[in-house]
Amino acid sequence: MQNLDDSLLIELAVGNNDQRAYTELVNRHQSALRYSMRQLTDWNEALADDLTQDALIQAFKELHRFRGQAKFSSWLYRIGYNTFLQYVRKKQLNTEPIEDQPLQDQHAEQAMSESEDSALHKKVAKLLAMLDPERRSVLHLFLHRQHTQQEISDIMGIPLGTVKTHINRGRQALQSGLQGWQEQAI
Amino acid sequence: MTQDNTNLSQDPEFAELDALFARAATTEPVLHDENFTKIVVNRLPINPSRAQRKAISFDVVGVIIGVIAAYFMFDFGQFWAVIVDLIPEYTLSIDVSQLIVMGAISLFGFTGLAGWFAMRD
Repeated sequence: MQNLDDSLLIELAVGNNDQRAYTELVNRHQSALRYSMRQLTDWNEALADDLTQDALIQAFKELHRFRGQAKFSSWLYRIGYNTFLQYVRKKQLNTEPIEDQPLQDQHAEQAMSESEDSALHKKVAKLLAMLDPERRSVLHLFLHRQHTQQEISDIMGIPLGTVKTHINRGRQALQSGLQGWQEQAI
Repeated sequence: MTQDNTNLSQDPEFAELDALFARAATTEPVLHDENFTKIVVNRLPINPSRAQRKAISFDVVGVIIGVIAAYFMFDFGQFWAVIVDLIPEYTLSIDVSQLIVMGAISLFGFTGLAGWFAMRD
């Protein structure tokens, strides 16, 4: 199974209802999706994992609809993003204001026991949490996954113009937030 | 390559922000966990219903054949005559070309609707 490419595994999972093939797909793609979900949920690990599991199960049910026009990982991300949106709508968990305390102070105790990298990822997630869910996802795909604007438009199913607006305004908001934190930390 | 593929390093205004995200991207942790995979696999439905799309396609084909058959078999002239007879004190004339146009509009409408059903995700 480990030698087969994604398209073949999908064929096996759909045509033969082969759960081993889908297990291999889960093994391959869980890390990226779990990380993206953490970035979208302000690094709430438990919530991110729950959403990832729901997304992977939904993807299994919808696997016959995957046409291979996009990468499987992009298709999977879209399902993950939609799962996240459904959660946000249900819980009304929307944007978070920029908090007064600098990030370094808020997580001072945690930071002591965490690696520098871990703190970095949480910091990025904290920054993204200032944005509304759609803009958050666009900025994650653009700045972290380094997709083109057209690719983001295709993945998220939103117009290219909207993607451009999100990127322009989102980057400005994130830059301001970052500078605000740094000024407060001094 | 399209112009929208912005080169992040070319925009000094956001250099610090872009560097932060770039560092995060290069140090992205591998979140692989066998237990996580097991939880997902245990929750997978045994027999996912994947026949829906095929069933819709058959429905669509049936509708299209039905519409075409009805168009050729139905006597629209007589139908309109009966309708016109039901309207008191009014006379309505309709010629063959108008009937063809109306038939074509109906056909396009049904085909469009059927196509939409077939293509929707």
